[in-house]
Amino acid sequence: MNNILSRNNAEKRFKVYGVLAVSTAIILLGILLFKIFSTGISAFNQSYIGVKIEINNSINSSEIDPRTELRQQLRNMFPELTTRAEKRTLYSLFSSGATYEFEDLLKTNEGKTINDYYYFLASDDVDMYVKGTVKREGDSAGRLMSDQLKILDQFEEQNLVELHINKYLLAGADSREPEMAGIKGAIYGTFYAILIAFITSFPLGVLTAIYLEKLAKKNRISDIIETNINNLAAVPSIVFGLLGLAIFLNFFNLPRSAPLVGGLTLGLMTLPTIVIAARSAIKSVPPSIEEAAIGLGSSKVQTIFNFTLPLAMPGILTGTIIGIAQAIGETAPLLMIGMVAFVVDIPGGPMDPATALPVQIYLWADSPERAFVERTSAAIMVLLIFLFLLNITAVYLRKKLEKKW
Amino acid sequence: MSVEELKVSIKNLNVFYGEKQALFGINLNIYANEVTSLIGPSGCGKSTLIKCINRMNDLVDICRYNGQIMIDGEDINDSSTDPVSLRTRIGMVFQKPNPFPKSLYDNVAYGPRLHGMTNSKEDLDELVITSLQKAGLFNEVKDRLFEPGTGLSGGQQQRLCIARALAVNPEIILMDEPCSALDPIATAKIEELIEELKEKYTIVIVTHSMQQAARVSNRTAYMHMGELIESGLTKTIFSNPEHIKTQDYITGRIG
Amino acid sequence: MKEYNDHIVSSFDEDISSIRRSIIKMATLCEEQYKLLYHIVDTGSASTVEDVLKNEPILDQCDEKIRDQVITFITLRSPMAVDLREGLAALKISTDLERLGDYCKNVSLRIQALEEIPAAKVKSEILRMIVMVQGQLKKVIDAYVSKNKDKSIEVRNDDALIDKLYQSVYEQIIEEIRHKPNKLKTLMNTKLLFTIKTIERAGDHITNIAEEVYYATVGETIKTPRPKGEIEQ
Repeated sequence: MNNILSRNNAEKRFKVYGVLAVSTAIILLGILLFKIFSTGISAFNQSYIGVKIEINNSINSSEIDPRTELRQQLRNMFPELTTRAEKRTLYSLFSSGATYEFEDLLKTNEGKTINDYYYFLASDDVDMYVKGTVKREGDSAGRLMSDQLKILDQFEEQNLVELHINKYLLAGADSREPEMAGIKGAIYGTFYAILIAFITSFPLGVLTAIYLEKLAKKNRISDIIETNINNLAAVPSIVFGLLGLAIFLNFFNLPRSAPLVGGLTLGLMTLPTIVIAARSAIKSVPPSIEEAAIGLGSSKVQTIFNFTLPLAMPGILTGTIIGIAQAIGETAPLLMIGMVAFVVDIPGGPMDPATALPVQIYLWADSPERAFVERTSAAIMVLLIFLFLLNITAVYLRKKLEKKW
Repeated sequence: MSVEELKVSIKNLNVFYGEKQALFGINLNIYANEVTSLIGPSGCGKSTLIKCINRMNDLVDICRYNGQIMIDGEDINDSSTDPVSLRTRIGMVFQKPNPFPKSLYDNVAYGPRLHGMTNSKEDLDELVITSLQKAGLFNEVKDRLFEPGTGLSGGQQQRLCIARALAVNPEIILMDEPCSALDPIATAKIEELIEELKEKYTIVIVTHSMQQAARVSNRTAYMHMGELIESGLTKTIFSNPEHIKTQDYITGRIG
Repeated sequence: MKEYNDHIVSSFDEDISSIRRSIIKMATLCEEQYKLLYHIVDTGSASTVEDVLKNEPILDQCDEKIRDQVITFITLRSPMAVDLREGLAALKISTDLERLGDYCKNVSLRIQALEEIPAAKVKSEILRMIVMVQGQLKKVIDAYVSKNKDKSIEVRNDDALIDKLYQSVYEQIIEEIRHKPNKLKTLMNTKLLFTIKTIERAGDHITNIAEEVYYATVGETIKTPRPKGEIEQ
């Protein structure tokens, strides 16, 4: 009787431990996600300041210098500001990107006249203050000085300070100015790199697994190969970066910072994972199906491609997507091969210099401007969503292919 | 009086798995259009022997053998024989029904498609239907030919596997305990099928059930620990065998 | 005797032993009956006839019991080879033993119903026949118990002696009929003819049993034809 009681108690305790462990994990995960999302969500909005633009002549954009004109319009709003210092203070409230926005405005209204309030990108210091990230302390707020604040207050009194959707974040490339910094370049870079990584590692990995599992003779050599592949999966990713540096950049002279190189390096890194997952999936195909095929006169290769591979596909795909998802988040190897450059152009193809999402996050995290904090979190959010989508794809594909079983 | 035609002739066959010898000097004749059954306790080598006939043992790395296996007078272990085309002349049915995870139609059509046996879709359709009819399955499944093969009952799946084997038009059919996973009624249907099939094919069946061997086969061979103890007409083996070991086995006396 | 291993399932051996015991019991009862028959022919005792009649239904019951045992045995055990022959032999032997019992009863009743006592010489010859039959019966039971094929061949061959003796008694009785045309005596002698025929038939049934024992043991029928005594004319 004692035995049963203590057994039941042990079971109850075990259940409690389990629940505790899972809850702890969920809570920690929740805290992490909450922190990231709450910090990053504000990056999707951006402060804009409304300016009264009045141009009574038919606009000929080629004849107007947007920067000068915009400043003129601003001065028109604040005629009381006369000294150079005061004017510079006024201009400093706006981002340098406001000039381009004004240029776009002129082009849009080619040949027309304008007389309305239009909103232009505020500087990152203003943005931080408006969003409340930076609080007012005495006369100043963060890097905003008292004179800047005075003018800003005037704008606010006229309800001319608004938060608009941050179109730069997702649609623009990186920039020194936080308010104009975007991750589109990084997304493209990651996309090309991962595509190349997949194209390199998937066929090679699957075929290797097929060869090792089905076709190679089982002897000492194949044992050694198997051990080595398993060990490769545990090699720190930065070592692959060094490998990429040595082979692709130094030996083959491929362009530095190109997603091609990043992709090849990541591909090498993912290869052992795919081989191991594929081998495991192939091993789990019941031999009875293969026996039946061979009994009907299939050759070994026909059997593998008609039966073994399709049946092992769910497992192979799951392993591949796990490997790819890992690769997306890798920073160290990309640093080694130079995808860390500050790149302002969105790459047109895999050969153009680019950066990748994790690297971008690293760079932004490293930047001094306050505004990059929220943007770093926003970029992490994008990365997480990316990974989440990949995982959902894995689950969907697996379910869809498993049905045929 | 029908002439006994020798289909498969096994002479002095020794089979080794690595260092361990599995079959010792087997001499066995299998005659055309007859059912020959192999009986014996577990591990006596029946499955190993049957797999030598269609060279399925080639798939096992550590398996080596010497001796002669002749089918229609030709040595199948000769270097000029292609095991893949050999296996189209010999069909095999396994212990656990193993239909492919495809439709019924595709299961039966796999072999013919693989070997390019038909020229048109109509020919292939006809071949599939004929094979299913020969296996006694067509009437039960004619309206669900495109449903997965795995949706049938155990007995039906086994008949599907038989239809699949028949579709490549073999001469010999090897059956490795085909009924051991089936209930008595499904078993009886398969035995009836074997009775019909032996008119056109040569059948070798491995079975654990002596009653089944007695019911179904013309000749029986008794094996024990890798040796062929006795072979002969079924009715002789079961009523008055020559060897005391055979009698001990069939009367339940091994001990 | 061939030594076979025990069955793995010991109750299988039990079943066979049980059938054999039933046969031996029935055969022993048969022996008893023929002992009584000797007494009846010798002394004409009416009470002994009563005894024979009392035992007869028991023999029938034994026959039925053995049949049931064998049917059950075949159904439940699916016996093969030597075991199957064992069961089938038991079936046939019990039929022969039942016939033996029947003949014994018939002869007893007929002897009792004889109008006169037969001639001394004839009577002693008939007694000799019965003794031979008893001997054969004992021998065949021994052959069955010890599964001895040689003994069963002997029994088969020795039946010729019964046939010969039958022939001789037959001729003696025919002589009696010819020389003693007394109506009553002739009637008695005619009945005697049928009686000794029945005893000779009993010997044939014992030979049947011998052949069944041989087949059960060896698995083949005896190849040589039965040696027969002279056929009566």
